[in-house]
Amino acid sequence: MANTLTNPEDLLPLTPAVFNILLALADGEKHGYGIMQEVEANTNGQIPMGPGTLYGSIKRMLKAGLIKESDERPDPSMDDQRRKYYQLSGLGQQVLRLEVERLAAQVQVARAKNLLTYGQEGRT
Amino acid sequence: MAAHLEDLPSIARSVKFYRFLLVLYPADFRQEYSGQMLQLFRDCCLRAYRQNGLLGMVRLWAVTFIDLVSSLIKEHMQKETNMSKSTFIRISGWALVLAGVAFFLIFLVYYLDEANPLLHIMSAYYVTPLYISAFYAGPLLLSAGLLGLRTRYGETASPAGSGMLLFGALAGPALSLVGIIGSASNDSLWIYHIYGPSVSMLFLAVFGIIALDSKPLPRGNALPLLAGIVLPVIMGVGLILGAIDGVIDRHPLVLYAPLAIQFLSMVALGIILQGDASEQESLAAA
Repeated sequence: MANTLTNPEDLLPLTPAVFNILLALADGEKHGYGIMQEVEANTNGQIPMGPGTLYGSIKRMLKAGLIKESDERPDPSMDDQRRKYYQLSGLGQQVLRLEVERLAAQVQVARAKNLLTYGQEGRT
Repeated sequence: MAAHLEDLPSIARSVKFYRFLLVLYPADFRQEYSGQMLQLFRDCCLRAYRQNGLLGMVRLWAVTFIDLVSSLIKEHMQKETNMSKSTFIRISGWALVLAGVAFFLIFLVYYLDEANPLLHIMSAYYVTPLYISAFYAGPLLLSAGLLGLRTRYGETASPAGSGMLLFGALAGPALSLVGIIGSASNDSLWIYHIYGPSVSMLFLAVFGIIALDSKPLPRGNALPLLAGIVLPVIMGVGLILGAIDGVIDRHPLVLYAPLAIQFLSMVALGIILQGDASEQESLAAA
């Protein structure tokens, strides 16, 4: 189902849910609950992600070729074999990188306009 | 510990009720993800209970309910969109086939009448209803076909290609409407009813030129150009000849070959389009 002809830039900007799922998978495959926990931790719970939102997003991301199901199990002894694991595809990695660069460029603009006083204080 | 917690009535009943609610999702989504969603909800119940007891469960249900409603709306809307889109593409494919038949019929009857005026073909009882139906329905069928092409191939063909199909679908019927309404007060305006499909076809031809490069169709990427170019050229040549010496439509045999190409191209294009709707349907269902 992965669309190998998709131009990564056509998929930008990403929705918060899709961006955070890609970000959660950036350091390796995870199952649904693992993704949900990581998104909550990364966003301080600001991106609410129930089962419907999570698996609806996963369905669309699989269809767009951003992620794929993984056959590997990180630790089979501690793992429920019924769980499905997901990992980033090549396209997903490209899209995530482009989105991060896009957001970083916007942060630069905000910084140039002195809107990031918090960050500047932190650096000094 | 986890197995023990799962047996608690508040958790067991919550999981049971959530399993029941999953029935509300579209069947294909449910079939693929209900098992994982249920397991995820069970994990969330265990964590919520461990962290905050019954209060955690209440909070979890509040969040889950909002998630349930929003995702139900999203999944059902997407399913409807996929279904209605593929249905529209299929219908518009057949509309394009019928438009090709209608235009061929109009020209056939017209030139047979011109060639043999004594036969009064146009006023024959078995020809008149067909001719009138084709005359009025043809532009609308063509417009529906162009919209179907735009829906299926517009994105792949580029924004310019998509725009051409939209202009063609709107401008043609608009011009035809001017002809139909205007001819009630001024007979000479009826010609705009003929110009309407020509304008639609002209935009189809421009889309065809774009399609030669971007190749949005699975096969037969020359068909939009072949289907679209004939009528504008015939009308253009007719107008020029008419302006020069008043001689129009004096070479019917020369016109039959291009009209046959137009007819065959439109039929083939319509068949490809409606066939592609089936492929899109199976992709959406997958």
